[in-house]
Amino acid sequence: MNNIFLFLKLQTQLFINSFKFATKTEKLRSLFISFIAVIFFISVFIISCQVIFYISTLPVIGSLFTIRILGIAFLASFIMLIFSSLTVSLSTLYNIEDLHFFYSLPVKHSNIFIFKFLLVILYSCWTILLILLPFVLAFVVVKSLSIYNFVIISFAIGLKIFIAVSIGGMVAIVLSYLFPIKRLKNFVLVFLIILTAVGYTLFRFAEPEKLLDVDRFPELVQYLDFMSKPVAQGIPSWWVTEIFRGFMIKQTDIVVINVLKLVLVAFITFVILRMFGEKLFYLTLFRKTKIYAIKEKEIYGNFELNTKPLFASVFGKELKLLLREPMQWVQLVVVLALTIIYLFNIRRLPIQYEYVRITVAFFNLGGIMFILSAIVLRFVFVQPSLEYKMFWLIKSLPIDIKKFFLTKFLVYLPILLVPGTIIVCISNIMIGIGKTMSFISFLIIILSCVVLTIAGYSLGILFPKKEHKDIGQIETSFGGLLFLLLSLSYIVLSLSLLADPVRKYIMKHNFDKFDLFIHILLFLLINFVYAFSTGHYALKRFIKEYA
Amino acid sequence: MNLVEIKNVYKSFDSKEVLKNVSFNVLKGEIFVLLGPNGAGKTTTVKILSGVLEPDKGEVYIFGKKMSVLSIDIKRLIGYLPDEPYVYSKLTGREFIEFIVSIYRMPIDIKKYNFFLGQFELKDVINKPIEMYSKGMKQKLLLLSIFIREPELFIFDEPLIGLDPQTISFFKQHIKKLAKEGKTVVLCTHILELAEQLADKIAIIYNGEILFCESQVRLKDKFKNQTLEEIYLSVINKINQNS
Repeated sequence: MNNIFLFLKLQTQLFINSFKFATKTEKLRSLFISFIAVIFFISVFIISCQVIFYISTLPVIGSLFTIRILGIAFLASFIMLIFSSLTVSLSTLYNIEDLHFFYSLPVKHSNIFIFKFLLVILYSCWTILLILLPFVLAFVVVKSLSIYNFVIISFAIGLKIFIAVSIGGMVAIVLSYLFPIKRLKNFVLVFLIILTAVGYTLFRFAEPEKLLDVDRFPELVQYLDFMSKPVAQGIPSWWVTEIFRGFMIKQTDIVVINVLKLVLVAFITFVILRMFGEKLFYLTLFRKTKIYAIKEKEIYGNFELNTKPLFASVFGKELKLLLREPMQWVQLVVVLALTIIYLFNIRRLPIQYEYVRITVAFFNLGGIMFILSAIVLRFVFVQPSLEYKMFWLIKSLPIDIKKFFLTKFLVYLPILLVPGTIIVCISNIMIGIGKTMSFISFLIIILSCVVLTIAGYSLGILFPKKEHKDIGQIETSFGGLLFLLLSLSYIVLSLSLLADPVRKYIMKHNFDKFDLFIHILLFLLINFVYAFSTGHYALKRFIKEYA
Repeated sequence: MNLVEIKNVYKSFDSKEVLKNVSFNVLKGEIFVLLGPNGAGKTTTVKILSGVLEPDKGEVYIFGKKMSVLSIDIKRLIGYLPDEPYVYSKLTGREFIEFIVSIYRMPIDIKKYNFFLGQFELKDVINKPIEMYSKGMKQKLLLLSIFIREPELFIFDEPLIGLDPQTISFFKQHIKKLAKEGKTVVLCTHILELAEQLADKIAIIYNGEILFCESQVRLKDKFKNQTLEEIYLSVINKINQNS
């Protein structure tokens, strides 16, 4: 047990040192991220308070609806925890670098496993807690529950987290025992991403908002019956919901029974997990590797080294790297799912009048630009961080760095142009606006593709995440947040500058040519400033510092 | 003829001065070894020399031309091996070589390629992704990518890390051969034995400053035929005592 505390002390020390020895810029970044997290926490709390308060005041269905929402929230977080712990376990439990160190120490293997598993719990649940905790707090405040109630609820949520993470962890251990760890990690991540994308699309197509529509049920009794049914009764997430309900209706027996259920299941899970840790985990790490005979290609026959022009060489390299990194290309599935859902939502908008159509088409530009920013963040912004350690090679090669940047830009631009132009064309057809407006919005999207690609790559150069375990860490780094913030400002500014001409077009006002010219000029200036300023500083920084 | 000339170079990182007034020159066909303890500024010096980093102050001339990060023509004549061999792990060894060949746009002698491939024992893995390579194999792949090009100036930063004894022996012989053919070599190392075996000229860098830069013959005369290890340790100890 002592050793586990020593390991935890070491981990805490590492965490403290990352602040203690950080540079001023790094400290500012951490402060900024903490500030954003606090704002997010408070916002979720305030919005949840308002929503729960509103729902509670609904006549007849108020309390039923409240419990149903809680049930869904706990079930969703439970499933998310299982999936998140599955992926986190694969990278944390089987991080070979520190395992080599830990296994060289005179420490029981089970202690190493428990320490690693505590890390898995921490890494798996912190993002989910950031959303779930203010939501639960809002419930406690709106329903005027006591601190004692809150403590019991927190304990129950803690047990729920432990059970979910243990299930994910055990699945990871069994899979790692059966398959090679490195490929398994990629396979699991790819599978989960595709599953999430497909699941979310199907969920949207099912139009869940219909379920809340009383008119769709032939009788009110049927509707009330549907609302009062438990959400996945046999799963620990429902037991936490029941504890809440017990406190709300002041029935202690419901609370006690469900707390006992959770404690019992958590204990059984702990016993099984310990067995897994002692038997399978150790075996997985130190099993003999099966060596397969690999058929070698003839090296000498027909061997010729091909020389290609610079663009072809860099393009070929980028394409190979993209296709061989499943975590990169699988994100195309996510983009596709988001695009389909976005177009589906547009189709369902009530747009009978022309002025509504033009207004929707105008705001549609903002929506598309936001989707494009998300694509840039996933595909373009991350590139400099992924390539960071290889930049010594690029800088030592006899290539013009400006040309290299241009090549990179040309490589990534199609990733934005293809979805951008497709979405704008399809959505404009769906909305049913005229040819002139369609053409203008097409041009605006092409321009924003160019600007966002340059800004995304440049901010990736300016704020690289040098050490990272996966792409997600790069996306959520300070630079990633800054890119999203700047892109959002760019989108808002661009749309505000175009709003006045669009308003006049809708109102059939006569255009003042000078006024229109000024608006277009300012719009182009915003685009130029965002692309040029970031690009200029990125090039300067690349030349001066990267090595 | 001076092939490399570094004049009063300064470089800082996060307000820490890493190089202070560094100056030296290297003649054509010379093997120049830069010695120094960890954190002395060796790697920063060779990064500036290879055009990977820009100095804050001072100038670097290679082949009489001013060197900078943007000097494409000069870079074409240099082969640089860094201390940490990071390469694109998802490319195969062969694809990496093809990429390098395309960038340098130089005709490659396939016989020579196959010779080095055999010498570095990379035949079996050249068509496999680099992520499957050990550190030593990556180092060999980078050496291969440099040797097949035959640049005029070789810059090696701790080239022997991860290499097996056969490859180390081959590396030493090949470097001597290259110098005889008139190629110039700048080498950074901790291994005093390697420096003693190869160096025509030696510089010791300490705390960002060049303590001295002499030919090995003159150095040995000056220190009355002591070994390089003895010379190095006496110089460093003296500095430590004074400070």
